[in-house]
Amino acid sequence: MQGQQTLSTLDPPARRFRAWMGRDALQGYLMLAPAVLWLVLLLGYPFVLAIWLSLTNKTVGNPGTFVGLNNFINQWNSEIFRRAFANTFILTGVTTVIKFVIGLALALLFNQQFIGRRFARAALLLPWIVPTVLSTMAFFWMFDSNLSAVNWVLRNLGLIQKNIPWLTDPTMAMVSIMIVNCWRGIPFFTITILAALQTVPKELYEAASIDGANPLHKLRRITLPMIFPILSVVIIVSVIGTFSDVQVVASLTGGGPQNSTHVLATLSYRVGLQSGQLGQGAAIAMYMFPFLFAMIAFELWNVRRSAR
Amino acid sequence: MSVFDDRKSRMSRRSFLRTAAIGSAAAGALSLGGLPRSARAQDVKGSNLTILWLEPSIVASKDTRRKAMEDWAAAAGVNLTMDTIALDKLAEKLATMAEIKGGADLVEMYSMDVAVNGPVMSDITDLATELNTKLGGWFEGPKSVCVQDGKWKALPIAIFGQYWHFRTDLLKEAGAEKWPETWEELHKIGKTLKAKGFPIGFTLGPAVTDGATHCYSLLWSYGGKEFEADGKTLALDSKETLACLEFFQAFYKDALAENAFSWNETGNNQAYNSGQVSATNNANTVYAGLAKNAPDLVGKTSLGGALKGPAGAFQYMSMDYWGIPSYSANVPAARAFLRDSFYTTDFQAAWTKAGNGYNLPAFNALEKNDAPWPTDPNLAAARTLAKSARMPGSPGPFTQTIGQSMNKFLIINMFAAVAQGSSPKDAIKKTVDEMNVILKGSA
Amino acid sequence: MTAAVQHLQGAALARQTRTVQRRRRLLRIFVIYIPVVLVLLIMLLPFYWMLVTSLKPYPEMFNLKISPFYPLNPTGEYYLELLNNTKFLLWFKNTLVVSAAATTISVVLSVLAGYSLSRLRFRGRTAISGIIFVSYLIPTTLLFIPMAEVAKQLQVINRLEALIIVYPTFLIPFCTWLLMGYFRTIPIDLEECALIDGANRVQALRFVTLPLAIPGVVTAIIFAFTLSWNEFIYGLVLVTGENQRTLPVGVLTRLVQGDLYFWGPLMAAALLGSLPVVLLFSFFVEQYVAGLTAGAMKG
Repeated sequence: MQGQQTLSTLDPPARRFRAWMGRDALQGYLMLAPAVLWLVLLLGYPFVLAIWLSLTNKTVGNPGTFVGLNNFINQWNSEIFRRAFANTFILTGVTTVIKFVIGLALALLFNQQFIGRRFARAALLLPWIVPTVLSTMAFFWMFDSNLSAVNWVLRNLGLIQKNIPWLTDPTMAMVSIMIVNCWRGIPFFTITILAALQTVPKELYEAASIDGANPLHKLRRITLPMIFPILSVVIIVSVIGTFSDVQVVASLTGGGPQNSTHVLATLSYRVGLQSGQLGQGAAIAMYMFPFLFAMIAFELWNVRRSAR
Repeated sequence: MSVFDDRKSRMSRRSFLRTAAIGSAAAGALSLGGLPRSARAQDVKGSNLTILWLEPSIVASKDTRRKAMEDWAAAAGVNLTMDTIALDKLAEKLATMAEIKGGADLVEMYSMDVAVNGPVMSDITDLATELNTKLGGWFEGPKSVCVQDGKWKALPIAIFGQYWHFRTDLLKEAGAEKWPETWEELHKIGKTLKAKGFPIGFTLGPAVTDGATHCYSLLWSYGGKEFEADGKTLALDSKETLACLEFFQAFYKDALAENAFSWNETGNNQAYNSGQVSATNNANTVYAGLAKNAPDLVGKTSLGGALKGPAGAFQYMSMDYWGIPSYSANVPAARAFLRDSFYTTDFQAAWTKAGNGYNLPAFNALEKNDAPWPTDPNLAAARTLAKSARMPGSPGPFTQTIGQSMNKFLIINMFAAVAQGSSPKDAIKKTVDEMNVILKGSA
Repeated sequence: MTAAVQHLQGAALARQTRTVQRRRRLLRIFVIYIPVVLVLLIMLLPFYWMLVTSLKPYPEMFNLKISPFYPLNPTGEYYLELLNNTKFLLWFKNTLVVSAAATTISVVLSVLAGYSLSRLRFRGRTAISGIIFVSYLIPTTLLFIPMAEVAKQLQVINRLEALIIVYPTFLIPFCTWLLMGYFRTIPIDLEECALIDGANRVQALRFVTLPLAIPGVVTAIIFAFTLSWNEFIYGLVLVTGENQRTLPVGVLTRLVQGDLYFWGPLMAAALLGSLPVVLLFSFFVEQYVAGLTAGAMKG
């Protein structure tokens, strides 16, 4: 960006430069310190412990012994685990795309002027705000195998003959989870992108109009690039959130039917916490780490790139 | 009648002597909590006791327990804190407490929790033996859970009766005047009923209790088992299990509800309440809740007991247990509560009565007495039900492996897989594979 | 051109304009209003469902023959039960306190950290931002047992302070990220001017950058608050006593007992537990948009 270039190509006398850099560094560290200290002090020990746990066969109340990578290798023999592994990626991938596309579309829509816009925007926030466990229970009830309101509507509209097995059939159960996840996540994308849209100067659009650009051009050439930094943050955060989310799957299907909708986070919870096999549970959870880390690395690279 | 009376008079005499010796007003605290032994009560006077318990579903049952706890604590001079928790959150709570070594002095646990937290619970074999004599002997079922590594680590609170709820009107239409005795008979009845649109609700989804009560019971009735008595040798792959699954293949197609794969604990309740199924197995919370949820089914519902297969009649029942964590600083108070309040026949009789068939005692002492048992003829099965209770892992002990296997619903999934078209052999093999993963990962 | 022809041309033009205007209005209805209504309908249907369920007597809930979408004999008993027989209001207050405190801490720290990471250049910047981000990755299922240990050491176990201390661990990385994104979209020129005029970094942040980043800060506040409000696991594990529970934990513990789900009060709790927060936010949502269009983007 313009400003950064000005700063780096300033080339002032050596003393002033060093003072400048020095002042920067000190202030930089000071401003960062509270946040970093808070995180390191509170998360450092748990994190190291988690890694250690995954390498032992510890159970509740037993110290356990070091077993190296046995937990990781052993889990791979379980079909339940392999399914959970695949599900995590499928769930995250599909829902992120849907949430991004619809979120962007809704943000553009809600960015327009219309009567009742204030109410509409507030109403859109509702799915995000209501506590996850409670809203997911409402969906559980709406998708219930016997009493589903959704099926009732579809049957009475003549669209279906037999009840849709929302939570009974393994594939439909995954679809139901995706529906709930997107329902919750779309407001998040929408509101954040909406805020980002506000930061794009209107003059750019006006200039482009004069040059004869149509809405699609404007979207591709102006809007998306301008909101890209925020967009990438939103996407990464959403991916991480979905990747490690326990609540939706646990409340909606409990990992069923027949363990077909487990994701790594819920399986880790069930094996580690609920069955007391802390070592194995930790190993399952650690499987998530490399991929999350890769996404973080990508975001960091992004940070460095846009800062140049 | 006689045994109970003898006991009562014996106890009264003993306690009279003690209270007379101290001359306290404790005798006036004639609550359902039983009369405190004043001498021992003095040991724990002034101490704190934190009890973590599961709020039971039946209100009368809950109130009786709560009152007993409070009355005992008041009479014994103990500062009592009662914390409640939901069943499906208990495991993580206990795990956390075990790791930070604190949180409660007396905890109520589910079977799995005993297996998982056994190492953290203190050894109460002496108390168990004492109570065994006092209460006429513990039943077999709970023992496989309470005794971990040869030591008693928990005491059974109650056996929660799992009954077959059935629609008397529908069964009559199918030609059955009362609840059948065997699985085969149920198969025939169910066939007629499913054809009429009222199948049997057999939970095949992620429900720990309701799934087990159907699947394990059926498995055991055919002689199938997960482990041998030593608790370590896998025994699932057997001709008994095969026979059981082959029966189930036909049973499912002919008689069972086909949307049961998603049912969690509340699934079969809702199916029954909405009139979708003609029968299902559940704790009698459904029966007790009919007036509120489905008043039109009140006169048409009755309850039946365990079904017999080639190997006998066995019924999974959920049970709760008391455990005293070894990290507790108030062990004497906890023991005093158990010995002097909870495990007295006075309290147990009153509590069983209040539960009206929901909670059943895990010992023999109340068998001959009529007073604690439900008067409702529909609940006649309550009196003898608890004896047929068995726990997963049977005939072996209930171990952590069993616990994890239940959490992954392996046995339930075995049946579900067969229902969805797998061959019995494949279903068994898959289950054994998963169990091997669990075994390999254990210490 | 004669006056008559000019007049005719003028009239034709006026007619064209009116048609265009009408078409544009029609277009607006189709392209804006109908989609908005549809979207809201779909997104809010579950809430309608919650409302209906919270007013339906139990026998109606299990009756398959009637429409599930309106109660034939609505009853307010669940709301009364919730408010009178449970500690709902206390849990509501607890959650409010915890969320407000955790949000404040997190947003303040994140503004400082986000500004530092996006504006300042110093050695180790990438490494430190890496630490912050990596901390976000640690799956919660691993964390809460060690976290309980930490809370015990700090002597805040079983108290709301435990949650206030722990929540920032997942709020700070998130808010820092968000704010970094916003800071990066603000041109640096204005700050440069301020700095050249003699202001120090903190002053530049406070008087120049922050006002421009208000939408970002408000967004961070909204999301931090919502994440705290929603949080379940830590609330369950770090705090036992019924009086210290947060809303989701208290409600679920009390209203789900084994195989008995008290759907009526559950749905009532879901609604009551979110409506006030929504009202609060609806105010904020307009705040920042208004603040923005009031001319932030000059220059």
